[in-house]
Formats: sequence, structure tokens, C-alpha cells
Amino acid sequence: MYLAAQPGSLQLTQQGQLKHFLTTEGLPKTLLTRILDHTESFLGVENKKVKNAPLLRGKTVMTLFFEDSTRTRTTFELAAQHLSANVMNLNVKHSATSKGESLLDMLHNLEAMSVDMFIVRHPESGAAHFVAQQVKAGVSVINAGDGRHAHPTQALLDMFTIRKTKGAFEPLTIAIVGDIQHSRVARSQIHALNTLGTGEVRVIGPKTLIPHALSQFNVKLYHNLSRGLKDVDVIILLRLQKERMSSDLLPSKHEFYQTYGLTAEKLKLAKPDAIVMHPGPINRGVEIASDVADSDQSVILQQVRYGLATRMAILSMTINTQDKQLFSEEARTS
Amino acid sequence: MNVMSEHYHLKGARLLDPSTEQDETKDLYIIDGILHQTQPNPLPKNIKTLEVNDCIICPGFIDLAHHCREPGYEHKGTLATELYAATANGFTQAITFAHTNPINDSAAITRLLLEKSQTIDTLKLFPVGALTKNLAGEQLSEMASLKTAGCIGVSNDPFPLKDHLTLLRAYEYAYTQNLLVFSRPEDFALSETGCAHDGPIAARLGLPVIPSCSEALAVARDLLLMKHTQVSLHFSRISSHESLELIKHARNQGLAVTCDVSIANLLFTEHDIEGFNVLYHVRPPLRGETDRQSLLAGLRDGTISAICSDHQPHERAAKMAPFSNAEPGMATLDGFLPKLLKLSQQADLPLNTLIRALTTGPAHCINQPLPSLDHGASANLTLFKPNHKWSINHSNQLSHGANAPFLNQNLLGKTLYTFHQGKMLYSHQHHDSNCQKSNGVRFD
Amino acid sequence: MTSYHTTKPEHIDLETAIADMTKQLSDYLTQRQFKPSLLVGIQTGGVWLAERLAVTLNPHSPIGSLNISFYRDDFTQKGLHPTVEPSQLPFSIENKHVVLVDDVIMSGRTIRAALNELFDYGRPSSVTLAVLIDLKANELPIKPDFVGLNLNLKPGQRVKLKGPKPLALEFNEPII
Repeated sequence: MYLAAQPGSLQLTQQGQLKHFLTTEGLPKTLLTRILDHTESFLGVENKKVKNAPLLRGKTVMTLFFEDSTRTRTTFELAAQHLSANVMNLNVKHSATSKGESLLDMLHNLEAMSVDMFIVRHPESGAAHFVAQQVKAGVSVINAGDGRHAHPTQALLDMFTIRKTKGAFEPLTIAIVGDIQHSRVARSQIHALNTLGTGEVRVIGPKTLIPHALSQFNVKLYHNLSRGLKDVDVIILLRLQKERMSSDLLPSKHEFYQTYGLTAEKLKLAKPDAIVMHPGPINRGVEIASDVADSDQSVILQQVRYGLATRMAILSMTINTQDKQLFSEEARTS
Repeated sequence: MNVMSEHYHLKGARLLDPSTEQDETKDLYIIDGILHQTQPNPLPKNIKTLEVNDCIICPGFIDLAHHCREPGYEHKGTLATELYAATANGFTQAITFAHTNPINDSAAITRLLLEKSQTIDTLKLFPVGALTKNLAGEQLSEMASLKTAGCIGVSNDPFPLKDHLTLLRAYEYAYTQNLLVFSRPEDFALSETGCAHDGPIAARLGLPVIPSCSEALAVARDLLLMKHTQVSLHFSRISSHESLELIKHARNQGLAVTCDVSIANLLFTEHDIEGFNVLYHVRPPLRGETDRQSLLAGLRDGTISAICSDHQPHERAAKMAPFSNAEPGMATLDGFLPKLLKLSQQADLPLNTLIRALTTGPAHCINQPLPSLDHGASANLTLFKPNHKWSINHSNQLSHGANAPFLNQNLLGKTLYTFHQGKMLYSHQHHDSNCQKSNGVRFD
Repeated sequence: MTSYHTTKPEHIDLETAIADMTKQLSDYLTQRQFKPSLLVGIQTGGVWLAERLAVTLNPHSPIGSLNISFYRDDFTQKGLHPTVEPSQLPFSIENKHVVLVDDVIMSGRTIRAALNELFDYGRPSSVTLAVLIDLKANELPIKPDFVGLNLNLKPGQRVKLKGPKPLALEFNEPII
């Protein structure tokens, strides 16, 4: 029940391959780079008439969403389908847990159906870790977002987008703007950016939206957007949830836009070739001005496109590491 | 049968008694439930001699935070199992809070607890009644009848009050009934959704937080209300440096306020929740290392009077959930004494200070006679062997709690006997011969 | 179609073997009326070889390259090859004649995977298989139509095509 504290240990096999994919924290640089390299390979699948890469043929993948997110769920489904897996969806909000069945009981019931992989989204931080600790050996868990903790596949597709447009991470200054406090995306991005050797990572936002203790993040904190954007190469905007726009965290979306919204004018403070990213869906006129979202510097649509290939890469790299089946060795030489 | 008919000669142990500052190796006699520091004449014929060289005898320990799971939560632990686990760590007296089911906000439940505990022949239990009806924080509880039934004080643990006016009135009324208020300080609004200390670990794990200032704010508020109402108040389970500073200041100003700390906050820090380890989901939350060091310093300088177990046994299912959904609390009793003995060595906490925090310290907090090994005192004592090597596993665990943190570790120091009013409540031989008993569902 | 003879490694004349194979292949494609045909190499050695063949067979058309990682049945052991580029077919293969080119054939599993990958891009009229080196160790009912060299390797010995220019064979242990 109580596992080792090492953040990476739960998700890696002894050989350092992915057993689960729960967080970017603690994953070695070589592994993150390999995921990005594989994503590159999977991009080619889009050009095929039959969009197949049947690496998960015969495997059963179940999406287990305790939070509504049609968009994310669909990308995962599509990724699993392109890999020829059998895909099942369970929208739990309308299912068993509402009848008081615990998460654990539900898991055991589902496991009895020989599921090879669970793709889990849950409103509580640590839920994916919990599921990974409870599933049988050989079953993989992919974290599709847990509370405020992690959204590692989103972070990896963002890393891919950055590498694709900017090349190496070392010379880059990258700013993450907005609601860091409640953002699993930001946490996963920060770990990945630091592991990949990013020159400087900044977070920009009001104190109400920044975690109180930032010491473990290795980031530079800015409360002023103009100062924080100075000479950056990449601007990552975070989605501001509707319920937080007018609350005790922020007076109004209008004031947020005035102080932290990315306008064409503010964008000029960054490097001329800076790119603008957003995990979507964007709130125009809140986090970002419409013309910035549609500008040449915006790579928001590329992010969506790379999302599928990234998830195909991660799914295929995770599910097969526990397979015991042996095939005869072939003398493939190149 | 007369329970006083057993007589003992405890031979060769070191007597450590904070009430008289006695610290010497000397034989001790229990005759008809009364302590004798010199050999009685004549010696009763049926006296049992226990060779207890290399052992330490102390007055019986007092636990200021036990949580009886009976009535209502017997699946987590019963009075019999959990109080026996307490005696196995030298406790002869314990406070129990009101969060049973039904909640102890009436004389009937108080009497039930006391009667039940008397039938199982265990330590002396002091019920603490609910401060408000059903612990709901709205209506005052029937404090006069709670007191008559045997409550030693009142508390709203584990639910902080939302409304300061209700709190003020509850304190005024408690003062009227001359009841001690146990406050586990926590500001409702600042900690409502939280489950972990507002430090770097929770920030990284993305867990909702309980900042230190939530506790300190409640401490400051209670100190002001205490002055205002003149109520007697004890802070239960202080966890932060800031709280301690406020209490120290108030005591220096002459306010008769006391406080205790739980073993969990002395042993562990926020780092123990890494990997979303639900075992360390406790309330108050495990805080930073500087807080822990402050708490140890507070024990040394006497600002903190007592160490409590805050023993909260849970069944397996209560902890089988994502971190914030898991029920808070830790079953600390199995291994409690050896862990504190180790802490005493590692953290420069003199053994005398440790024993004081388990005997005279807590007695002072709840205005009870100081437990003593003095000649002529009632025989309430515990005898432990500090260099006894052992370990606890599921077969010899005493608590029913599945959330025990000290299992399968090398432990040093074991209670051999605990006496209450002359009667042997705990004997290690009895424990060892019974350790094969089935103890319910386990984790592994 | 082609006469098999086993060459000892020390007698290999790579250039002659490629020239002979190109000639035979060209004659065959003419005879079967498979011209024009599209050359598709299997990464990475097969692509280099396809480039050589194209000089004679189809100099004005681009070369296709296949990444067969997605169809490998030993994927679980080897994982994805991180440095291999995605498949690139800069033309439609629908109703076209395709020459599939690889450097070495052993068990035939690579060719099986390549055919799967190829058919994800469309339905060619025909596929002709040309391979530089046949190790004669097939485990599947797949045989090349044209072979440059037949080699017998000792157990544990491996051969690899080095390229792209010049093309050369590399053995994992010295030839005795």
C-alpha cells in the first residue's frame, strides 16, 4: 500500500522503461528525448492512407474519466485506435461511483475484464499514482490529468512543439503565464523543461495564482507580465478556469486580461521570433488577444496536431514494456 | 476476587520519577496496590519477584489525545484493542475525544464510554465531551450534564468552528461549567479544503494546503478569547513554529495556557508524504523540518507540556483512496515508546524531559494529581527495557488499525509491565503468548 | 529467375553484384511490362540501394522510404528505433508497379512488415522484391525476386550494409 517516495520509481521498470506514465517529474532526460524522437516517427502516420501503426494490436485500453473532457479523451481514444488497440470508454461521473461504489472496487471489477491499460483523469491530485499502485502487475496506467498535480502527456506534446520550432532547449528562456497554482499542466511542463535543460524557466502571475512555496520548481517568479516577458523565446499561456475568473482569486476576467492577458503589444517585449503556446481551449480576450492567437507566432494549432503523435508514442512505449511474450530474433541490420 | 491481592517486588530497576525528581536504582514493592520504596515488614508470602535489571520504572503515562472508535467505528478498533495497545506503551490514563458515533455530546455516551472501559479492566479513561451539539459548531452542548457524567473537558475536535461568536459563547459557557477546553487550533476558512502543509512538497504534488498561519491564526484567536472569557484552555497537537511562538509569548505574559504535540509531528515532516503516501495524511499536517525542530525545542524548554499519541486507527478501506480523499490519521500506538526513546537519543531530547512530557506534563495540563512513584502512592507505573530489540508485524500488532507506521522496523525499547492501581494491565509475556491472535484485515 | 550461388565473404565484389542485379531486374520489369516502376527502400540500407538502382531504372522519379517499426513483430523486445525517420512516399502507389528494395534478407519478417506498411499507403498493381544479400534463413514464405549475393554466415556472424557512398559490407567479426 505504501510505496517508495521516489517520484520516478513507480513508473519505471528496472531497465528504465515506462511501466506507467504518471508524471514528468523524475523521468530522465534520455527518456524524455526518446519520447520526443518517437513522436517524430508517429507524425508520419498522418500521411498514410490507412492511419495505422498496429503496435497495440490485441491490447485493451480503457479510458477512465472522472472529469468531463471530451477533447482530451478523444485524442487518447484516437491515439489508441491508430495503434490498433481495442478501446473502451468509461465516463465515471455517470456510472458506478455515483452509486457509492468506491474507486478501488470499480478498478478491481474493470481489471477482471482483462484491461491492459487505463487512461485515467481524476479531480484529485495523486489519483493516477493511487490507481497505478493498485492495478495488477502488467497493467499500465497513463495519467490524463490528476487534480493540480500532473498532466504529463500534455507537457510532452508541448515539449515536442518547442523542440520542433526552436530546436535545442538549452539556449531558451521560457515563460509560463497565468494560473500556475491550480495547473497540472504547468507543474508537468516545469519538470520537463528543467530536465530537458531549458536555460531559464519563468512563471508569471498574481500571488493568488502562484503556489506559496516555489522552492522545488527551479523557476524565476514574476508578478509583472511586461518584466517577465522580456526577451523570452517561448510564451506558454495557461487556461484560466471560468470559476476562477471572478472569485476571491481574481476580481474579474477584464482585470486579468488587463494585467496578464497577452496582447500584440506585450508580445513585442519577447524576442521577435518568440512563439506563443496554450494547452487549449483558449479564452479569447482573457488569457490572449484574438489577433495574437491567430498570428504567425501562435503555435496553438500545431500543439493540437502534435498531441495525437505524442500520445501514440507514449502509449506504445508504455504498454509493451511489461509484455513477456517472446519472438524469434531477426537479423535486422540497419 | 480482590484485584489488590497481587504483590510484587520489582527488583533492580532504575526509578525515574519527574514528580519527585527521583532517579536512582532501587527496588520497588507493590503491596495491596500501594507503592513501597522500602522493603515492607513482614513481606507478604505470595509476593512475586520480578528481576528487572536494565529496566526503567516510571509513573504511568498519560495520553492527551486518544480517539476511541467505540461506539460507532468498531471496524477501526474497539475500546479493548486500542486501550490495550495504549497500556502496552505504558499509558495508565488517557483522554478520548468526542468524535464517536453517536458523537459524545450527551451524558449517555459519556457514561457508556466510562462503563465499558471499566468492564474491560483497562487504563483510566477521561472522556472529553463535544463543545457543540453534534460537533456541528452551532448549538452549545449540554456541558453541565457532560461534566456530571464524567467529562474532564470539552472540545470540537476534529471540526474547527466557523463562527467566532459561537466560539466566544462556547468558551464563556465552558468557563461557567469549569470545564477545560481542548482546542486543536485550525482556522476553518484557511484549511477547509486542505490536506497537506503549505510547503514545497504540497506545491509540487499539487495538493490543497493547510498553511501554518491557519493554525497560528486560531491560536492567536483562542488566546484572545481565553483572556476575554477566562476559560481554561489547552492547545491539543500544535504543529507549527508560529503557533509555538504565540503560546510562548502568552505564557511569558502570565497566561496559564498549555499545549501538547503529537508523536507524528515530532517524528515526521512534509517530506514523508512524497509519492502521495496516504499513511502520512494526518491532521494537523506534517510540516517542515524547521517546524519539527521548533517543536523539539518547545519540549526542551517546557513550552510544550506533553507528547500525545493522537492514535487514530483506521480500517484498510479508509486509506485506500487518492491522498486528499483518504481519511486523515495514523495508528501510532504500536511502536510509540521505542520510537520516542530513539527520538530522545537522536534529537538531544533528554530522557527526563521525555518522561516528564508523558507523566507530570500532561497531568498538569488536565489538573490531575501528578503521577508518582512516591512511597505510599497508588501503584500506577510502567516498566520498560530500553535496550530490548524487537519488531512489530501483523501477528504481534496490538492496535486494530491498518494504518500503523512503525511496523516491520527494528525497534529498541519495550514495555515489559504496566500497572494501574496495583493491577498488572500489561505484561510482555502475556502479549508474546497472545501474538498469534487474528487481528482482522491487513494491507499486504 | 536468378541463379543462386553462394559467395564466400572474401570473394565479394559488391559493384559487380549490384550491376548484375540491376540488369536482371531491368530486363524483368521490361518483360513483365512493369515499367515505369516506383522504387521504395526499407530504411536505411534499402534506401541507399534503391538510390543506386534508380540511376539505371528510374532516374527522374524520387525514391520512397519505409519505416517498418510500426509493424515489427519483435517490437516488444526492441522498442521503436529512435533514429529512424518516418515513412516517406513522395508519390501515390495506387495502381502503380513498386520495386521494394532492402539490403539484407534473413527471416523475411522485415519484408512482411514492409508489405503491411506499404499497403497502408494504397494498393499497388505489383510489388517486386530486390535484395542485395540473401542469408538463406527464411522463416516465412517470402523469397526475393532478385538477389545480388547469397551469403552463408557462421552462427553469430552478422553483415551490415554501410553507406550511402560508397556502399560497402561490414561484418561484425573478421572474415577468416
